[in-house]
Amino acid sequence: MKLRLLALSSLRFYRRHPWQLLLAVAGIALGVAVFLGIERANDSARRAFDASSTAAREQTTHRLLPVAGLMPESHYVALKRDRRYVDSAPVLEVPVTLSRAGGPPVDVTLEGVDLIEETTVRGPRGAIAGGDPARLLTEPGAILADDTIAALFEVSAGETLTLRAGGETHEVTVIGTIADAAGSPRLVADIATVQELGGLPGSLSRIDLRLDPTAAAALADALPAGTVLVPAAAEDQALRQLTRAFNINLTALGLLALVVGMFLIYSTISFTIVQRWRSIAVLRAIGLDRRELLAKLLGEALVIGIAGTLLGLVLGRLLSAGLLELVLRTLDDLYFRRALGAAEPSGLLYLLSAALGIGATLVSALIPAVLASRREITSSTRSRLERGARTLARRFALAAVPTAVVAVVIVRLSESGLWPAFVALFLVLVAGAMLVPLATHVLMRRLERPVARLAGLPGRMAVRGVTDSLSRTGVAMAALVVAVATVISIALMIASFRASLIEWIDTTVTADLYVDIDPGWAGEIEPALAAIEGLPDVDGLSRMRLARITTANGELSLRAQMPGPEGYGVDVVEPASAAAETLLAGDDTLLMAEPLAYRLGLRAGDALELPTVGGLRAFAVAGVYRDYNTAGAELTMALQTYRRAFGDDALTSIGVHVAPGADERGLAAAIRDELGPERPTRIRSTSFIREVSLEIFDQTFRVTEVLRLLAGIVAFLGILSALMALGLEREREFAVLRSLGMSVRQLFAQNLAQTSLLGLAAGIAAIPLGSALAWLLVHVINRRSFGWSMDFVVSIDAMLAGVGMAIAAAALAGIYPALVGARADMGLAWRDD
Amino acid sequence: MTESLGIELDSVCKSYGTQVVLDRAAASIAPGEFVAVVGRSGSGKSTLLKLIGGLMSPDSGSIRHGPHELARMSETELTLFRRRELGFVFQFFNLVPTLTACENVQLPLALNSMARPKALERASTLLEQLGLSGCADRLPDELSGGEQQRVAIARALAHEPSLVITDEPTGNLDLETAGEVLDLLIESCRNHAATLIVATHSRDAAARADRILRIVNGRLEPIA
Amino acid sequence: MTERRVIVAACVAFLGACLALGGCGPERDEGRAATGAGVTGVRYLAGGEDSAGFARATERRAFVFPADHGAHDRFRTEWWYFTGNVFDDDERHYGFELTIFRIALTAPGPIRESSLAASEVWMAHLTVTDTARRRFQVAERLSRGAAGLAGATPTGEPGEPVVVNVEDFAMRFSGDSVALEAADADFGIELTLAGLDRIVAQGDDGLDRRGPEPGNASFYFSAPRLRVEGEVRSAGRAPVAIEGTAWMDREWGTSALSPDIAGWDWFALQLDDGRDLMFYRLRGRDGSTSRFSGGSIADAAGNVTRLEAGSVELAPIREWTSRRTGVTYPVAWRITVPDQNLELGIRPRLDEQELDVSVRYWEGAVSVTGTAGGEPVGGVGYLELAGY
Repeated sequence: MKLRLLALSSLRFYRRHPWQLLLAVAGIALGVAVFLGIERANDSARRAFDASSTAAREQTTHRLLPVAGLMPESHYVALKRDRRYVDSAPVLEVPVTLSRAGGPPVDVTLEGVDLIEETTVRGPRGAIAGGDPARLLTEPGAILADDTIAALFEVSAGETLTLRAGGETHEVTVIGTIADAAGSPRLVADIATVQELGGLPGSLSRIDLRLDPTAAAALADALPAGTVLVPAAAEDQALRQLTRAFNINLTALGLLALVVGMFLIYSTISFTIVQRWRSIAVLRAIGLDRRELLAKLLGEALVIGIAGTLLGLVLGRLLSAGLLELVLRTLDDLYFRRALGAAEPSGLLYLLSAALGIGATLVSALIPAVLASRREITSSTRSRLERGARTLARRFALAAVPTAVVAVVIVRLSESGLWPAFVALFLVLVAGAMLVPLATHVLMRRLERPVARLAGLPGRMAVRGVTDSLSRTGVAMAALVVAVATVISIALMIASFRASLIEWIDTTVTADLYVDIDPGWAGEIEPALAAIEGLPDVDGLSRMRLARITTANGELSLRAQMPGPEGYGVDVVEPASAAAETLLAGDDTLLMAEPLAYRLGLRAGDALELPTVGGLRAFAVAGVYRDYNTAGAELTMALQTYRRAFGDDALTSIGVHVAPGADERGLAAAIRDELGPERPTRIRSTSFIREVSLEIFDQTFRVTEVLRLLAGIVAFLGILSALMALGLEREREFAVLRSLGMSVRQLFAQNLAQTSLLGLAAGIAAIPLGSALAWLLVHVINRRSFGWSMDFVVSIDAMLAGVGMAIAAAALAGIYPALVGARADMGLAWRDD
Repeated sequence: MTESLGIELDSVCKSYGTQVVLDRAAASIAPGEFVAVVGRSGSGKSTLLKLIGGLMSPDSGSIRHGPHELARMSETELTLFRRRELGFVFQFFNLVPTLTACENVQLPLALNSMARPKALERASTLLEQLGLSGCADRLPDELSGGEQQRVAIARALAHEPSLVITDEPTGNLDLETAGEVLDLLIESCRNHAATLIVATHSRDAAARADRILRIVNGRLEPIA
Repeated sequence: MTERRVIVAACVAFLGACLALGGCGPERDEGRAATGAGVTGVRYLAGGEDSAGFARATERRAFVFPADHGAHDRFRTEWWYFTGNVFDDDERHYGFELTIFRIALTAPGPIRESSLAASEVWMAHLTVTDTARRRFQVAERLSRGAAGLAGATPTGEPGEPVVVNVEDFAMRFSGDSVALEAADADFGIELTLAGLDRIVAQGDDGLDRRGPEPGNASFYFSAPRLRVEGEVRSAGRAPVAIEGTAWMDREWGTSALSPDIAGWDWFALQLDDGRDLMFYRLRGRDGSTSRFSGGSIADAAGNVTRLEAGSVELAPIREWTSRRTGVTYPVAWRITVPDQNLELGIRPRLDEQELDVSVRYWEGAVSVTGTAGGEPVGGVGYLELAGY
């Protein structure tokens, strides 16, 4: 009976204030939806990514690699005839150039495999569409194109492609297509076909093996001459780490949405308590004890939580489809890997989201509910509440200091690791939120005089209204500040990143034209290069060899360079203010990209072992340079050092430094002439590199834009809910003002001014908080996620945009409550309740 | 100060749903007159005052202030009419909680676009007259009930309205304070030659009126 | 052995599927559950695999050694088939099977530049039945036929050994004996089989017809009673010395089975009385016995009697359902050869002797008891059940 009556009183209250209920439900729903959406997208992306990155290596445990160049296939045959090493698969990778009519040639990898071994050693590769795969064995020149190439060249099964490999042009027949897999676009063919096309009969790039530890040890002890055995997992591990970092970043954003949702619940529950205080006081007066009151309030929260969570699960599912697309694209852009597509996540994720949603609701309802149940029955007047709120604001502000200190300590104590960094980030957020009420108070006191001078008494009323309602708007304000601060911090981080990226590109891309060189064209190229160097508009050349070398630390990119007039084009960050030329002058020295150095825990002065022609040799890490390249596993060394160590005198490309004002197009034609018509090549102007890179960059961060918007919506709902409740509470005041002769428009304007001020306050408060968060993102989170360092850029635009967003959100949220308030029934002034 | 206007009510009807509150009520109130409206709780006193104050429209019948028929006035005209001609004193919740006593009194002046220094001077004078000089900078919740009502009276009179409408202005006060407040109200209206309409349960208050109207079954009956 | 041709066909079909699907587990299992690889194989072969460019078995020929121990590249399919029953010093029984299949995808073309180039796929199966420990162990090798990964050494010179291998599984023919060497992590065989001088030419003096069309036939001969010595390794234990008897089947051809054949049942039995019996029944989809079924019975003196389709009565007496694949096989049989006054009961050493590899079939060691001319007779043998 008692329960029923209590439930009824709750029910009737919410029936009279349905929007309040709706907003609370919507808040939690959005929080859950964003979290689930992100996690689901994340989860699917992770699986798809895992599937694609491990597809080829799922079963491969080791790789047998030539110390330099290629290895004879007899090694492979010998392995296969030994029971212990029978699970092995040969690979020959040959860079080839595909030419097409009317377009620039495209460099792809031609991968030679043994499809029979693929299935047993390397695991499933994804579907082959089109032809009978047996033709790969039986037809010379039969290849499979991956979907990217098939789409680019508009070829389907049965059609031919023209490719250049090993200095010769071949016609190959596409007998089918294969799903895109790891790495760059590729053609797949039988190992024999690739040996023939590449002019490399009898040679292999490597052998993939599936070995048990005993066999691995046995093989390591009896390696074929000129080979090294490396575990296959190393390189995957690096990529996995990067993906994980990306995932954690997204998860953090998802949790943030949930936190903002919690603020919303907190705010709503506090509100309904203030609003119902009289009836609650009556209930308490007639004998409802504290525990029963607490139960009643939490019961309400539970119902709201369940409703919101259910709605959130549905919304989240819808949301995740869109997010997934963005996340996958980002992964693509970041890692140049195509994920295989979405996978349905486990039901566990739904359970987790539901638990988080309901749990968050209960937790956020707990504080106001406990406070309400503890409050003295008689303490009902609002002014006392407000004074209480002011005291609370001061206490919160005091508590913010140790919270922030703890955050700093966590960052200091944890050397690496993303989770501590995120904990610190959240602590800083919470500290910031705790400062909001007091900050608002102080700010409004400052604003009162100028505003009153400007807008007279109504202005003064608007300013005081903000302060006066802090007990109820404070939480919504805090939510708004958190959301806006997040937006500002991400914007600052992106601005910093973008600025650093631009600088990096400008440093790195020194030449004006890059000319691809056929790798098979090793020895005789120098005369052609000398001729090019002699062209009137050419200021100088840089020669470059890009190689992939597999080390105990996974596959690394090696950039060997003979610099042109503008040097190596690397931005050395360690040792400070050192020139790459000086650092690379010594024998056996190299420079290491920052992310790789971070990953390996190496610094300038350390050593790194590389497999060279003469076996493993230690190279001195002379310095570390900035690199925002995807995996960033790059080394740079002087070309002569590389040639000596690896016995490879081929070139990948040359950089042409063009005299100022010269006609690049004409020069490109002249270079083609010098190289000769039988050596068709691709010449790229660097003028586009910057734009293209920035385009990719912006694309990458598009997913954060969506999340920013979502956080904004949640905050908007919070402030809307607070203002609606506030407006309702002030109806009588509005009625008095109206009866005094204030017009609807005046009242509306005053209400709107008040909420805009609220937004302004939130926006201003969000600037320092957002900057602090951005600092953490730039110097801690990004560093720990990707190993990137970047310069912190203070973007006034980003900050102003944040303030603008806060004002806009508050003002927008204020419109409806202001309208309702302005149209309040004037008769309400008459009686109290 | 504007000239006080006579008020004419002609067969005014008002009902809330099926409950008839006023049924062809009629009355005529002279400029500067002090009229007390009495009746049982729920008899329609407040409704009558809201109708006269233009806060609510009758279902039928007409309410005129001098030449102005309220029903014919637009929302804007009504707002301006209230702003210039009317002053209200309510039983509860009279003052804007975020404004000080002095600012509350200035509010109608500000709404009537009086210059700030002038408004401040006038408000201070009024508060002084009402014996509230010491309270000028206090917020409403720092004032006693009597003080609050006196500030409300000051605010109702600040812009020298031609009509002051009050609903149980003393209902919330102890007897002594109630008497003081009532005295103040009547005296101030007399000084400004403003018409005063008071809805009240108090016999004392009613007794001091020029005329008493009683609401019986929705009709206005004069009591001699 | 006609039937094994179907295995080969199945193998080709499977390879296609395996390559196409990337060998994904679920698809493979579904495909098998639905039809069974053998049946798919039958269809594949019957569906008209292009046999253009291949030689065909049309005329009888004499078998020449060591050349005929090697590969016959001009025919599409070929296999080397060893099964045997052996015993250790404690009279514990082991069964083994080592088979190598050669499947040409196309007829031999011009020689290619890459030595890894291949138009043949080779497959090998090794099984060891450990009767005492009730364990059946299987390993498979698949490889391209190139560069020594799989193939048979070119033959011709008498006295030179012929080596046939698929990766590490190898058969070395040398004189009248052959060495078998094949192992997986936990089991394996290292055996020498002697007695290749006693050959039984199956079918019509070695030309075994599989259908009414000319050329739809194989060259087929058996070495029915090889003496086995060597070592068997089982269940991860140390090798044990064994002795026993084995059967070799050799067949090559470019033939095709009729689409209404569902599978076959093949018996190779070595009786106590010195006689060796081989019979295969081509099983129609309606359960009937094809008229192209057949076999032989050879005595110790070298007399061979051909068994026509109608001369042998076969009756399954017990079925066993595989827990792994859910397929039911008739694993025990009664064979009656009225003309020979033979009545034999065939029982598996172990029910579970199913190979669930690229091709799914049951092939296992069996024991034989019965009567010959009224007298009790025993024996050992191998039974193969395909297309179930």
